[in-house]
Amino acid sequence: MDFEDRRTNLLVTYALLVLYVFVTLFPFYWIFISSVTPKHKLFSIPPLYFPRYFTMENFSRMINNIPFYAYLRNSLWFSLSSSAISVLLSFFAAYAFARIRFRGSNVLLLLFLMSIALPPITTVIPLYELYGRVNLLNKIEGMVVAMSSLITPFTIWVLIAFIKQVPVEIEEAAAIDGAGFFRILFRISLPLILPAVGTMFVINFITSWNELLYPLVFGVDAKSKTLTVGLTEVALESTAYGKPWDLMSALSVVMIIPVVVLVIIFQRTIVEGLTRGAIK
Amino acid sequence: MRISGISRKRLYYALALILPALVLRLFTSLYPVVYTIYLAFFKVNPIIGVHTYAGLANFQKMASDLVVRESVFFTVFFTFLSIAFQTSLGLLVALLLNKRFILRYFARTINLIPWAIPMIVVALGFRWMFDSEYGIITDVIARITGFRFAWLIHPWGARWAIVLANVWKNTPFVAILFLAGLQSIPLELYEAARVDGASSWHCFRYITIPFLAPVVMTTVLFFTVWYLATFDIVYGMTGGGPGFSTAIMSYKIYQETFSHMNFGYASALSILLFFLVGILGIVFLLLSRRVEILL
Repeated sequence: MDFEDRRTNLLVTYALLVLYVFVTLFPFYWIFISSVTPKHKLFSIPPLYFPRYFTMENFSRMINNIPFYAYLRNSLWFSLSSSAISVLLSFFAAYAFARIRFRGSNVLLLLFLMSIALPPITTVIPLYELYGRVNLLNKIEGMVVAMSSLITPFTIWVLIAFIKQVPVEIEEAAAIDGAGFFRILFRISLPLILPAVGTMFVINFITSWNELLYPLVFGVDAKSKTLTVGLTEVALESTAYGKPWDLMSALSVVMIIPVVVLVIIFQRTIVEGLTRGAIK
Repeated sequence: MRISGISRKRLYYALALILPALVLRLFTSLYPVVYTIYLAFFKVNPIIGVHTYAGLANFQKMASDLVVRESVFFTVFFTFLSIAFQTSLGLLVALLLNKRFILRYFARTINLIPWAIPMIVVALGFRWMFDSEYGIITDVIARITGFRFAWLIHPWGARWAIVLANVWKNTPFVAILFLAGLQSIPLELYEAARVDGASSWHCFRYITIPFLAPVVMTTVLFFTVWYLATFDIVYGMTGGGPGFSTAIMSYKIYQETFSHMNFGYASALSILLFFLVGILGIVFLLLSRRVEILL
């Protein structure tokens, strides 16, 4: 009976897993298939479940249809800067919170964390007006300030956990040897938690790459739009069949590829970084 | 490190290290909140150059605005249902992936992929799949049930479609968190319970659940707060429609700001959203304390 039980158990487990993997991957399959199907075959009733035609035409039309390379450059510049600034500032703050106890430090950290609850849309009007006055609208720099700030609390929280894992004795030994505070910070602590800093850089890059709201509201002209905004822009067009799904799926595939590559390369460390926030 | 004569110096170092992050954060959180509260009492339209004191007019308008009612309802509906589905499904997936089997590594990588892609891609992708004429989901459901349903054209269809797309994107991420929680439970506990003759159900009930509860609570709190501020999926998938049936709070605020240039009214709506986040946050914290006692 026990053996029979096990077998059904295993069978159910595999059946559920196959279902899960199928459901999770299906939208990717569909977006990808749509991106390589010729336009006149894309709008078929009923839809074609399996690809019978293949073309790269949608990609070349998409690239000609929008200022693709400008948007790509903006997306990269926006994501890399937001990630770099947030990781750098978070490392400093996290080090202070993890290593130096002072009155009110817990309250200050709690305030940082509670600020995560502030909905980003509610910060848009004041920043929009201010940016208009100081000439930061339609500039990547303005978006980077808002974005790096948004991801800083979580980054601090995760880095604190990583810094606390490093034995404080190493730093104490260096202090006894006469090393100054900042020398210890940069020469000893930073190298020790560099892997965690790198992980947070990758996670924040992905988060910024995916961000829509800030680039959408702070960047109105073409020279400051990111790929996410470009995609919504293409979605506004309409054709005889409705939305230009041929162009949209091609652009979607281009936006998906970099993050999927990052996930495959850094899978283990990304999971470690993400779960460090929830599990102490 | 130990408190000594140099502790004062270390305090200055700490403040110097925290200051840049703090300034950045205050600039994009405290300043906007204060200014939003101020603007909520004004009638502001930057296009025609209006900026006059309006008293409580914005709040009165809010109380009688039917779209606001619809908007608050959908915000809560979306948050509550997304969390209910993703928490139960996420737990199921985590339990599955915690077992030993071939291709486990592969399955775990798959978990991360929906988390990593842009929400706007998901929103538009699902809009395409739910398309009333060419959509694959619409077609599959029509073949199975014999009934063709125009998901995004019907208010309830659109509400559920948004929840479904959102649950699809975030369940794998939730599963990752729960899986990490499961793996932090010491195996010796299960072994000891087995030796004492506990059944699988007992192990699950008295070891897994209590150990996993803190992770589940943290995850639910984080997502509650985050979902109340949802914007991208509505912007991409329905544009708040049909009618105003899916105009989630953030989307409504966005529209008042950039379509109607009603900065004052949008600020009043922002204050309503602060309250929504605050109230649900507190309710959740009280509930979670309750649950912890029950376990």
